[in-house]
Amino acid sequence: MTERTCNLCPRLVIAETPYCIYHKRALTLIKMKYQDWKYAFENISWERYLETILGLKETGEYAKAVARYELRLSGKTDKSQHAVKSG
Amino acid sequence: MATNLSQSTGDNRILVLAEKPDAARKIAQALSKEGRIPYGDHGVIDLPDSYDGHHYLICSAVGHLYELVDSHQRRDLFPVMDIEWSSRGSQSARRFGKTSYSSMGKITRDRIAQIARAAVQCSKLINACDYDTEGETIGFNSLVFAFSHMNKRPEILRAKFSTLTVEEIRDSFRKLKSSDLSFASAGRMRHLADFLWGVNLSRALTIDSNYGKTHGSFRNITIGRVQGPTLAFIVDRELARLSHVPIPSWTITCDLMKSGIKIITRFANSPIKKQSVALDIHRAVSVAKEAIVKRVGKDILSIPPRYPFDLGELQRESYRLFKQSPKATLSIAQKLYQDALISYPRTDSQKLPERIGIANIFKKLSSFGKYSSLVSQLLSDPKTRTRPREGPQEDSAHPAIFPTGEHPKVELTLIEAKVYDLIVRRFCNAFASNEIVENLRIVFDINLYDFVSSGSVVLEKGWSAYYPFGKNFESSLNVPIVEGEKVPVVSVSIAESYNPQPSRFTEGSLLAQMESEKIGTKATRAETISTLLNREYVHKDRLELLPTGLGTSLVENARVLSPEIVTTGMTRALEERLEKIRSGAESDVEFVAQMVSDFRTVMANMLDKTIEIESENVARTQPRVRPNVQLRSELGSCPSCKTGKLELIRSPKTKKRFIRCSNSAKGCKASSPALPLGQIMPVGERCNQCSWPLVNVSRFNRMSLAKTCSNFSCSSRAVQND
Repeated sequence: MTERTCNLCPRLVIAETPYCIYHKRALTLIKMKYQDWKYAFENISWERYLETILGLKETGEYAKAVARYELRLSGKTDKSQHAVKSG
Repeated sequence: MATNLSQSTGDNRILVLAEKPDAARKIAQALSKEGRIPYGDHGVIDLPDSYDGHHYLICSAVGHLYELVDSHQRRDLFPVMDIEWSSRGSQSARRFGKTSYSSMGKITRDRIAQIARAAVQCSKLINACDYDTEGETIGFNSLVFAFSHMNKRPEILRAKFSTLTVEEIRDSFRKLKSSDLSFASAGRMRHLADFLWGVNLSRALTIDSNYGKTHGSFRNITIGRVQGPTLAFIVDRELARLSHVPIPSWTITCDLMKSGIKIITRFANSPIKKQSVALDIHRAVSVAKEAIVKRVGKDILSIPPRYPFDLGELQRESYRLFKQSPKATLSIAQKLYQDALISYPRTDSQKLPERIGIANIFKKLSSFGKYSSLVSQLLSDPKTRTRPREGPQEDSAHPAIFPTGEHPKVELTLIEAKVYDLIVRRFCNAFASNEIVENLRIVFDINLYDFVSSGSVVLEKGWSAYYPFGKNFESSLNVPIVEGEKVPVVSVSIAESYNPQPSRFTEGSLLAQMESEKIGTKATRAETISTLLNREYVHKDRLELLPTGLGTSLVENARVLSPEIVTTGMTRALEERLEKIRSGAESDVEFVAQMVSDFRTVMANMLDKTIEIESENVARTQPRVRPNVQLRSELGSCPSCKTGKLELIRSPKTKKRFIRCSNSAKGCKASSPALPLGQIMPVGERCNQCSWPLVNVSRFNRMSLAKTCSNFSCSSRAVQND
């Protein structure tokens, strides 16, 4: 059986996710805190939220790594959706 | 029941055993007629003509003379259940013959021989080791084993004292008691539990970690029943920091001016969680010209003195004020105790009973130049308490830490003097009156929004005159103000902030956490923290404790194999049961039966899990990493772009390590290869040549730490390589 490592570190992934247990936990926290940010800034977009927490010194390194990766993913998704629509 | 020696002994010799040579000398001095201590043969102090007419032979242990050993002598074998007591440091001699005694083994062997030789000449034994579980264990083992080759088994009596002053030692010898076997039994069971868990878990994790294959050399991965949960506190805190996502909030402050004094007010419902709400309030308040005093509230608080020192509180205060590690503080306190300046420091008690001779202590302290004015001020104050303020914690063996009032015979070092001063002042503080503080809270109405300002004034100085290290209650809100009064607004500001990462543990806060979780004992907690640092599971960055890669992977692996190793439940339950043995509520047989049963369950779980993982048939959901994976990746700020952080990263594809700036996505080119294996830890200094952070690199041997520049192309590394 092939072992799959986390996209951000050499640890093994949790089933069905690209992340290890620690980066998965960081993602869960990012998603959870998004509700607080949406309340604070009245419907801040997911991408804007990720960009903002990336620039804060208070954000932890795992959370930053996940935010960076999720931003890259959402960028790819947007572009591919845009290509399909324009095509 | 107290035993009087003169009732039963005639002129037979009496063997007295102290825990350490220094204590033996103090006891001999106290028991001799003129305070002189003639040395007998082989380090035994012979006192044929003591102050009470008895013939004492006083000898000492050097801490523990006996320890538990694995009778198989196979380090690769576990679980080990076949354990026996053996003289300390004799492991190598047992394996390779009598010529192979370690230096500790030789000292121990000589001490045991001295005690045995002296024991032959004596009809009575007095255990005068420190009166606690460890002291009782040392005394019990030393005296019982010393007589093991003889037919007679004499009675063991106990001298109980909390200070090494002449009066208290003589008093304890007048009121000798029968030895309390439940103390010794609890101590022996603690050693058994520590050995069974510590040795077996360490062997299991050493084999599991495969350190040799990943690092090129053998290394013992050790863990104990207290070490495991303590290390897990540090690792979990670091993980919480790494995963931290901040939440925004806003604070609005409004400065007012009254009679030339600035009053800083804050929005009453701060912090505000919604930006639009904060901006609305800020806008409304910004146009206001004046604030109306809505309410003036005054509270008078009577704050009682702090409790007398138990060991944990002394260690925490010493860390807070002097930045002394708990271990260093304990060692200073032990020295002060051996110099008869303070009482026995390893205590949980917050009580100062009358029997310690409080009046006599004050009398002695008042003749001490430095404290004479302090004591006379305390004694002349009519509000001074007749009984000290005591805390709820008790210790059956010793009172809280107090000064004996004796004058130092030799000059104390600066830090010893500071700790001694702290103890004297804390003792005086317990008798002082309450601190009377007035709290003032003013509510202002600024354009229909409530803003508050608060402060406090000390109306009557109490204990803080003697112990000025507590919270400072004085703050600047000393303005005469009445309700309905209008006060001009000077400025309004709004600040956005984010909740910070949870703070890392320091040695002081980790000690407090261990105490609140009730793991370890007063005597061992400081040693546990020190062990984690020595074994490089944790390293110190200034005062903060950070887990190393090795420490992190140790906790991770333990959680996979058997989570009980790193949780507090198991060790806390064990401590509670040891306490029951000490109080006589549980027998050691019951304890051993239950402990072995728990231990077998954990070992069986570990073996099952190992087989499950090694069979590779199960999808892994838990991390399983080898000790070469470093969690802590940040090395320091980037010398190139100045704003980014240099990070140690392992490539997920190539598995190679390199250093890169966190601003690399924004164009910073700072990068360098890094050694593929071993620990790389920042030392907090910069290279003189290239300004990159200096790091400690340990690869093949944990003892060989090399400080070097983290930049591979730095000229300083070329010089090192040459």
